[in-house]
Order: sequence, then structure tokens, then C-alpha cells
Amino acid sequence: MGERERGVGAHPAARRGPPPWTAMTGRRAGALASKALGAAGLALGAALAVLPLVSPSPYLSHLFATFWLWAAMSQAWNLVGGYAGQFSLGHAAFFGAGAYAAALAWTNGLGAAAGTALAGLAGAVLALPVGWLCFRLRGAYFVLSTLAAAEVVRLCALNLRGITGGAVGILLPPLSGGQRAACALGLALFGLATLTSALVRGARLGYRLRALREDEDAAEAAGVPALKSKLWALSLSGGLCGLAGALFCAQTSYIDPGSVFSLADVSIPAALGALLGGWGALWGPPAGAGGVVLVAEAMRVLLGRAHGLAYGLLLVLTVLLVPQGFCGLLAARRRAAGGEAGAGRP
Amino acid sequence: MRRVLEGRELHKSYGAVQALKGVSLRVAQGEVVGIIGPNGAGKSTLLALLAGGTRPTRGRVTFLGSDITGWPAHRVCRLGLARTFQYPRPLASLSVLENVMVGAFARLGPLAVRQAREAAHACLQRVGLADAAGATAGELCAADRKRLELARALATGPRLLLLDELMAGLTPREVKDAMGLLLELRQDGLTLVLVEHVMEAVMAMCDRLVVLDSGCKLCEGPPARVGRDQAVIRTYLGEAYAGG
Ligand SMILES: Nc1ncnc2c1ncn2[C@@H]1O[C@H](COP(=O)(O)OP(=O)(O)O)[C@@H](O)[C@H]1O
Ligand SMILES: [Mg+2]
Repeated sequence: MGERERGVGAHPAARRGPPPWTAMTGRRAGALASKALGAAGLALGAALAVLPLVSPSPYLSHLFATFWLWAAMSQAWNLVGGYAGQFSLGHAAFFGAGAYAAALAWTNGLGAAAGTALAGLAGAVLALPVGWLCFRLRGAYFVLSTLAAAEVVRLCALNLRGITGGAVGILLPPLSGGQRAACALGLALFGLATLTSALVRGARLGYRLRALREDEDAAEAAGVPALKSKLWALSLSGGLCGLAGALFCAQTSYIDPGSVFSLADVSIPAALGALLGGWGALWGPPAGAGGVVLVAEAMRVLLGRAHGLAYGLLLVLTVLLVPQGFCGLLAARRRAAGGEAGAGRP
Repeated sequence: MRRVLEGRELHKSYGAVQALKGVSLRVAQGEVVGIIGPNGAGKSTLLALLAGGTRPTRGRVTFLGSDITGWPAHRVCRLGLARTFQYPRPLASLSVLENVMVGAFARLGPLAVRQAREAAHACLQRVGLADAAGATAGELCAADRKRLELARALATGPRLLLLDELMAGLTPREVKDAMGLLLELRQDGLTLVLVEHVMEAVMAMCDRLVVLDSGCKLCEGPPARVGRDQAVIRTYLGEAYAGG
């Protein structure tokens, strides 16, 4: 090693920047602040998680059940849209497939657990052909192809009347345990989605997905199997969306193709949560989903059923004002506050 | 000598542009082969065909006994053939270390993050970029991008490296370092194919030179002989290197 290092000398990056002591204090203060922020966030999150489970208000439980559901959906979307940079607007396909799998299983006498497992499986398996077709395309063409894929699946559900009941939809008995049970199940699903996201992020797959997001050809040249990695991500994402579909089904006791395969009500909020909160980060999607659910709820109360408009406005504002998402903005602030200690991102 | 890489009668057209018009190339185990020629001669195109991901219009590529023509680049990489790009392509938002880890994962299991980190550190040390491991790759200067490009390729554990103008734009001092590093790699048993314009380096390091011009092979042989070739002097070298 000594031989090699002699000719090379200290790296210029080491000589740049402020003297080491200022860098150290800056970094230490930043680390402390971020630790405190993290602890506060965790405590707040825990309180919010438990409160609706013990509160007597069914409205609060309902609101939180909805929030956990969309936080999980955004977390799932982020695996593909954030880590891998594959902007899908077709996640309703997996959500709807899961909802129908669960509804059909339950109306045919299968147990709650079996129906839920089938829903996850339906989403994960459906993701394979969808991904196999759509991942051939890049950029805007990919986005359009995912839209089309979800539309194809919706039309199938609409027209296979013998199995799905077509436009009439499927009515289910209400969830025993009511909104509080839905809230607990939603929390569990969100936990699973976050765990999956964290595991993927720290494993080979996470590195590969982020490499693909930056430069697909360079990643391939460095040994990243692009299609296989993306299919893994989409399948995991689709499986989680399938489970979310089952939860939605249990929560609302009624599904039809128009609601569970909806672009405006499913695909867009899933993507919007991750975009608003900060795609690519672990805590961005749930934070963004909180915003999405609150805005949708506010619009419902104020304007009746106009959350489509709200989503559109939110999307435009996000892209214009915080293209890195809320968490991206915070991270940039933190880096700026920490001085030039670490290398910042563009 | 054992042949590791062979391209036979390689043609490549981009629409009406014929970038390569039937070039053959053989590389033996442990050899250092230089590819030289004027800009637009088809050197980078030749490397792209050899490295997979780009399918030749005609012709075949064999590496370590397998016909790899038209294979996706990641499969070729896993077989032991890595490349660098002429214009470095850092994974911009990832750290320098993470960039190299991506390469190291080519030979590691899905959960072997620690091994990947260690392997990446070793590669960064080798190319003299260890101090910048935590920096964001997109913010590196040009010379460091070249180092990163090499480190990422090295991390994939190749048997053969294709290097596209690694030394272009480096200072004489950096060229000297790079030459030292490449000679070390050769001693470790790596086979090297380099596209270079830095003639001092090419002449000193290569066992054999291949000269391309307008998509055709102009001549091929030991550096000393190629340096005296009248056609090569006329089209590329100019008088400075005449006489060898
Ligand atoms: N992707 C491409 N599309 C169209 N033309 C290309 C492409 N790549 C290379 N070429 C053309 O092929 C010829 C050879 O290019 P290249 O292999 O890059 O030359 P060199 O590396 O020797 O400078 C040039 O005329 C170039 O314009
Ligand atoms: Mg070139």
C-alpha cells in the first residue's frame, strides 16, 4: 500500500474546506440537532400511533386508518419511484388486484389471513408482467405505459363479470372491530412497508436501484442487472400495494373497479405522498402522505368531493416549490447549517 | 498464449454512419493492448461492442470461451470484463464510496454490504481516492471522476479491463501515477485494453498497438514498429514520433 500512496499524495478534497476543528464542531452540533429531531419525531410518531387506538372518537380512528394506508402506499411507491427513479402512475393496478383478491377470497369463505396473503401475492405477481412490459421504456413513455397497464387491469375487472361482478362491485360484511381495528391493521401495514423500505435501502438491491436512478448504462456496465433489480423492486412494491388493497377493502366493505383502480384516487396519491415528503428518503413518503390525507380531508369538508383538484394543485406546488420534497428540503437546510463540513448534494 | 478476448469482423452502423467497418481484434491473457487513432475513428465504438450492451451490426465477440455477442453489459461484467467510459459517468447523487460499492456488489450476495464497503475502500485506496470516499460523486473534479471510473470498474473484480482515454486531460504527474497503477494491475494478472492519445504512455506500456482510422484497422503490431509505419505517421502521429 505504501508504494501506491507515495506518488498520489493527499486527496485535494481533504485540503479544501474550513480547518478541521470548525468542521468537527459544526458536524457535532448538526449530528446532535438531528438526533434530537429524530427522537422528537419518534416520540410524536409513537403518540400519534397509539392515540387513535385508545381514543373513543371513530372519526379520529378513521382518519388515522386512512393515513396509515396512504403512508404505506407511498412507502411502497417509493421503492420504485424514489429509489429506482421509475415514476409509476400505475400502482392502482396492484392495489386493485389486492382488493379484488381479498374480496373474492373473503366472499368465498376463506379466512381473514388467507385472503390478506392472497392479496399481497396478487399484487406481487401482477407486478412481474407489468414491469416486464413497462421497464422497456424510459422517461415519459414509461409513465404512460404504467398508466395504460393500470387501465388494462381495470377494464379486465370491469368486464370479467362472472368473477368480479363487473361495475356492480363487491359488497362485504363490515370489519369486526370497526375503525379502531382498521387503524391498528393500517399501522401494522405501514410498519411492514417501512421495514421493507429500510431493508431494501440497506441491502444490495437498494444500492443497485439508486445506481439505476442515476445512470442506467453506467450501472449496467458496473454489473447491475437493470431489469431484474427493477422487477424485484416493483414486485415488493406491488405486494405491499396488494396488502393495502385488502385493507381498503376491509375498511370500506365495498369495492368496485372505478374506486380501487382509480388514477386520481389511488395511483396519484401514492406517488404524491412520496414526492411531497421527499422521494428516495425513508421518512419522506409517510410525512408526505400525512399532507395528502389532510388536504384531501380538508377539501372533502370544505368543497365536498373535490380532492382531485387538491391533488393536482398540490402536485404542481410541490414540483415548483420543493422539488426535493419536504424531507429533502430539511436535509438541505441541515447540510447548509452544518457548514462545509460534509460534501453537500447538488 | 491463451486468448481471452476476440472480436471478429466487427461492423457497427449508426443509421448512415458506419462507425466500424469490419475490425478484428485478439487479446491474449496478461497482454496490454493499445488502441490508437484520430477522433471519430471508432475506438469507443469498438470498446462498446466488446463490453456488451451494444450489439454489433455484424461480427462476433468471444470472451473466455463464451460467445458474448449482444449480451447485456451486466452479464459481460460478471463474466470478468469491465470498462470505463471516455466521459466519466459518476452516479452523481451517490457518495464516492457508494459508487464503488455498486461495482463491488457484482460479485457479492444481496446482504453482503460490509464486504462491499471493504472492497470499495480497498479500490479507492488503490486509485488514490480514499480521502474523498464520503464526498458526493457528482461534485468531483475531472481527474477524480476518472479515478472513480477506474475504481468502480476495478471493484467488479475483472479479468480484463477496457479503458477509454483514462489519461486524457490529466496532468503529466497524474499520467505518471496512472501508468504506475496500470502496470501494477498488469502484475496482478489483469489483461488491459486501452484507448489512449497520450503517446508516451501508450508507447511505454503496450505490448501491441492497434491503429484505427475511419472505422478500419490501419495497422497492428509492437509499438516500435507501429511508430515507424508511414501510414500511421501520416494519418495520426505526425512527425514527432517518426523513427521510433
Ligand atoms: N451513438 C451514436 N450515434 C450515432 N453516431 C455515433 C454514435 N456513437 C458514435 N458515433 C459515430 O461513430 C463514429 C466513431 O465514433 P467513436 O467510436 O466515438 O470514435 P472515437 O472514440 O475513435 O473518437 C463517429 O463518427 C461518431 O460520430
Ligand atoms: Mg472515443
